[in-house]
Amino acid sequence: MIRQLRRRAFRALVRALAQNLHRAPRLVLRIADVMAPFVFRRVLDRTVVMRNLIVADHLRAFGYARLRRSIALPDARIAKLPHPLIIGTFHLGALAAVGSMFAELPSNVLVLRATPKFTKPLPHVTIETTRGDEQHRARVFHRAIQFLQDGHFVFVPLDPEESARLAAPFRGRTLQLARGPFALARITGAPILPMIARWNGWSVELVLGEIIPASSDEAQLAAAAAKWLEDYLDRHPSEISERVIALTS
Amino acid sequence: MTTTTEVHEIVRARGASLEHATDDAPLGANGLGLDSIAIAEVLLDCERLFGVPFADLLEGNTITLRTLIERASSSR
Repeated sequence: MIRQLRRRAFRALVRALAQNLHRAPRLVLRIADVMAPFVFRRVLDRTVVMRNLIVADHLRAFGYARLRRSIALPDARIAKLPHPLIIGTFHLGALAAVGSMFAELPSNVLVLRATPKFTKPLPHVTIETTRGDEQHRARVFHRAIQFLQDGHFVFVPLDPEESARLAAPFRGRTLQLARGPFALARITGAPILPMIARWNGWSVELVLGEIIPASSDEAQLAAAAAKWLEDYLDRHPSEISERVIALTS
Repeated sequence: MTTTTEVHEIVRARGASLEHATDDAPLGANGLGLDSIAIAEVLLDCERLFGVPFADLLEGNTITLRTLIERASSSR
């Protein structure tokens, strides 16, 4: 009960802070860093969680445009990405801020996410929720195929909470990845770009990998994506998330 | 080969066992047990073979073998 009240009070504080993120992002994030350990005792990286909560609340309040101006570092490569392209990310770092890249993409984007959208999308961005029965998920999957066949972008997490999975070698063990993105690549011939939005100091940096060419072998594609994640975590070992740990066996 | 047999072949090729299935069995859970990717691929296979759209079936009621057979029959 006390813990619940404490969380509720903290969420209210976060919301208030988020509304001022565009004015003083460093100060707001600093406050979040200081407060986080008192609330999320069992979360692996409390700072990341709190920063993402603030970003999410900021998005709810103001949308992507102000977020880009506030904290996202510009990356000229995004506007030049070839398409069709499957952009695959992982639940690490500044995931909540990843939408800041969508405005720069040179074509329409279909975003697949498990839970309902939390902010008004940009005009060229369509959001589909994947949670539902198999037929609903098949409908979303088919829509993603159409987007790629029409030459657009599909943005999708590669580390699923719930979905058909594909095992890939990872740090001498096995990482369970979502099968959907790799099946999309096999069916449409679209390549996959692994990427992560990471906190770089007080800003969000988009780390883009090398494009993984399409293949008829889903396991090979998954292995390439897992290898990219492995290399990324070798460079930034403290950024591993509870999601990635849970999916590793 | 009849339309029914052709539909059965497509569904079987995507991993479903039709041994004890009726034509009213849903493609997904509580039926043939196909996952979402397999269901979408069954529809794509049907579109290729029968030359009529199947994807719109995803917007309606639960898709069964009978739904597929009826749509396929409309192309003949």
